[in-house]
Amino acid sequence: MFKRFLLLVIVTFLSGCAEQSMRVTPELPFTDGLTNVKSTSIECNIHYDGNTAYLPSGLVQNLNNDCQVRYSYTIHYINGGTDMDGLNLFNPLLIVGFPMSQESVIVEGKLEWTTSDKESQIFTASCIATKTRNLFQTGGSSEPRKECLFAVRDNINNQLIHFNKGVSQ
Amino acid sequence: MNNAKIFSIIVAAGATIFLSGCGASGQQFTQFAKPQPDKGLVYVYRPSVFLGSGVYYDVHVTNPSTPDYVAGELVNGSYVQVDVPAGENEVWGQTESKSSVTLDVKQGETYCVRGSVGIGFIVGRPNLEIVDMAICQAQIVETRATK
Repeated sequence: MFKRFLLLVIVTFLSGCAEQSMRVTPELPFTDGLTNVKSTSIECNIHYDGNTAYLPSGLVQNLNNDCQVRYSYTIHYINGGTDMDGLNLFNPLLIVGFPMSQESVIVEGKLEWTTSDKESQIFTASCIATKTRNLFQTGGSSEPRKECLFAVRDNINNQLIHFNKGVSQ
Repeated sequence: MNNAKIFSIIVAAGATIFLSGCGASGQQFTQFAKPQPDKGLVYVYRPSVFLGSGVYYDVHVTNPSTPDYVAGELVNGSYVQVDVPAGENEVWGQTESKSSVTLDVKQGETYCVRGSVGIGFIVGRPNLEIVDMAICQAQIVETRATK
């Protein structure tokens, strides 16, 4: 009876080790008031050479406008590797999800908005996504990278909405 | 020497001979090639280790402009070199599960992806990681082209 209880405790504990977590900054305490705000639209000359899916949705390309928007992001990887897998071969807890390695993806996005009056506003956001590899969850940074890029995009978009809301009030 | 010992030696020798054939047999890596001006250059390499040395997998590249294609086979101690278009390129490998990384490729740039094999239920699983050029330069010199 005690052995079953101990195994249940270990399984419950280790199920929390198969973690996939993501944290985005800045945290936006003002998002409550944004639900009723009409989605903002900024029509500017946009300088961005990546996948348009990662561009904040409030930006609209307008080459005739004097204002300029520059959007860019950088990505850094902290790799986990498989060097310790040799030791884990003899680990019986592997079958219940014992973590083998952990990897992280760090995305930093930056949007620089220069109005027609030559005033500049800079909006930045960072995201760190951490993923644990075990027998039930494989490695690979493609998914965390994509999730972080979307999170950074949405965070900067919300900052733009809040900024425009403050300017218009 | 009893029969059990002789059998063990034969099995060990056989395994060594068998696994030595699973490594790369092509030309040793010497230097990075110059990328084409309108494309990026990706090196996918796998340092030689004993654990998982018998497992190998195809390296696939997927991007919006070209359908999925196989860039080469990644065996123990090998590297694969592939030209890719600028933009997002997914580099992935699969045995019983899939591991993939995505590169933001710029024209005229070189990128490195390190492959390895991790523990799986039935067979080892691929593990791909994007590494910076300093690490790549130090490790890829010990690899050979697959064929």
